[in-house]
Amino acid sequence: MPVEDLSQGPNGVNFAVTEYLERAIAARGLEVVSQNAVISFMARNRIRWLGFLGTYHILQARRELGVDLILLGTVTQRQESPCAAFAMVLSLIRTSDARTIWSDVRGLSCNEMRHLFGVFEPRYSEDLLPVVAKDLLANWPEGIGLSAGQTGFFEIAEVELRPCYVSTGKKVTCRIWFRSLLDGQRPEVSLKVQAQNYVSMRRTRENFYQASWAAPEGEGQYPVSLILQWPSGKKQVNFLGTYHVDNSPPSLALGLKGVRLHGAIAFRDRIFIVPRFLEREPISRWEFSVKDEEGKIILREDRQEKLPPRFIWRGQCGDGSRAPHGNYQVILKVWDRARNTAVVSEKVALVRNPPDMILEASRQGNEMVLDIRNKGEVPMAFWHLEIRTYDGSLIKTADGQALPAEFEVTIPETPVELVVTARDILGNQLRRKIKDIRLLVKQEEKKKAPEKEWLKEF
Amino acid sequence: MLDSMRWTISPTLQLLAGLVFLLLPACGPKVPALHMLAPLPHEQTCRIAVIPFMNETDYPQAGAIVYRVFMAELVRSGRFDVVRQGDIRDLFHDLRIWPGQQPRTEQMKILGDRLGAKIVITGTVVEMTEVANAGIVNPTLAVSLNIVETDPVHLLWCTYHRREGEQYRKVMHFGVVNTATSLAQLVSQEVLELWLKEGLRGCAG
Repeated sequence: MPVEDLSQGPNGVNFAVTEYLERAIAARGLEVVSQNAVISFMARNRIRWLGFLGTYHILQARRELGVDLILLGTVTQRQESPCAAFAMVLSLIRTSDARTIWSDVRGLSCNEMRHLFGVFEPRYSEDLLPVVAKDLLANWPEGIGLSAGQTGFFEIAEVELRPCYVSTGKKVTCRIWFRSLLDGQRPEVSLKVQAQNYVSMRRTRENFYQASWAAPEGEGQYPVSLILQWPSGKKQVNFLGTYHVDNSPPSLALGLKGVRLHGAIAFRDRIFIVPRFLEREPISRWEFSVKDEEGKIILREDRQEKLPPRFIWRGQCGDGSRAPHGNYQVILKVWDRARNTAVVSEKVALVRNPPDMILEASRQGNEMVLDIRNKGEVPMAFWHLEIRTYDGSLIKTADGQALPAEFEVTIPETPVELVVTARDILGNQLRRKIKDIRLLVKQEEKKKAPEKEWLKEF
Repeated sequence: MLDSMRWTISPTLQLLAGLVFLLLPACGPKVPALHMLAPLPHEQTCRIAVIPFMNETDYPQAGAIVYRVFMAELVRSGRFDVVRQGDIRDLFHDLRIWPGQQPRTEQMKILGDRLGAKIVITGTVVEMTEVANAGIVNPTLAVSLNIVETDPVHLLWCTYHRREGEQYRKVMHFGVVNTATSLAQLVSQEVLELWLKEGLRGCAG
């Protein structure tokens, strides 16, 4: 086989060393298969690696190339500086029983090849190759028994046991591909499932077997083993894997942070929705959706992957538009690995309106009493009030967090403006300007004044 | 007084003392550190699977180099039927164990059963360097090797071994190991020697 060269990376090949070894082995009186034939064999059998072979390919090489021995080589080191070094591992495989019958390692550095007065000292790694190869081949085993008893070979190429997690009554399927080099009779292929039951496998294609059965009632882990029974009485049992029966839906809850208003968590721009498992369990699929008050789904996302640590809803619909002010329901549906489902939901309130405030004024002599109240349901985070003249001089300021509040101010003779700024705990802001606060008093007096004319309707 | 004492040690004795000093072995532990967490199976462990070693170093292909050398030494010991790397690779592919991954407990059980190996050897190359000084290369290698039983799956033995090429110096430059591969060979031999001494029995054991 071409020699693998790890000094060139994981897929490195060294044809120079391969050719050197070919000549050295031929010199020992052995017939060596040509490189073209070997490379052709590798291409036919899709062997895309060097340095090792599996049993199937060893036996296949014996069949196709007629070889008794396979020499595998790996150059583990090949460097030129600071001092040339060369190292190699060789393995000899007997193809009749696919056994490694000899293996050896040799590493050499130019420091180990110092000669008197420095004459004929190796300088490059290629100067070390003959020494390393000679040392290795000097240990070549003598009297190799080439006709060891050929063993039957019926190898499992691939096993598929699906699904690994299943609920009671659902179908479990096992598919097996064999690689057979056995010239004799085929074995009877069956499966041992649930420790006691035996399921016969159906041969659907050449070397392909399949069997299905219903998952049992009891929850737990069930081993599956393959049984090969030859007419000669020989029996081979191989453990293939396990499947899990799970009938319990995932147990989870939703954690939402925010202000609870009339049973719903209120938010302005975004809300964090944190799924919390009451019992930890891997999830195979999840679906996050948002329904409006009419029950219409305005947003949905479905993924077949593990659950993210949190969801963030920014108050938009599936098309990216802003959802209107109102109450919504966030719903999370999850599937565990056995497709058991669980649904959890929570009411949320999207509040985008600015704080609603009532500002009333009343006259008490020369003083004006301003009364500020919160008309909305969302508590205030803070409010700030400023009274200024038109030229910008500050007459009075007031602020606070709690409402209602009131304060007095002397009724001005000239027009003065009032600016109210407020923010609720969700972050909605209000800024209102009244150009002349004296108008507030006049409006109030107008409201309180008794009717001067007789009203016919009364 | 001191002068008279100095002359009492003969030149021959001084030369001998110098030679003894040169013969003194280098410092550092020479025996691998072995932790036996559980006893080995009672029956002979003829067939052994060695799964590809992990590389935790910056040295390119360190895992593959030490793996190849260790496998060769295991075969050379003549006591074990070593599972071919190709069969392990095929099974890794079937079990969807990708390069750089280690098999899980159930996969380890399947590995042991399908490969017919009661014990599996796993390994990690912890350190591999080649420090050059005045044209002389001093390689260093540290490996961690584990013996794992496959049915039931549990860790039996843990071994850690660290060696430097300089530690093999005998006299002058003789004995010094200059390549990482040769050092890997010696480290593998020392670990296997200890394992066999402590009770790991192969086919011929």
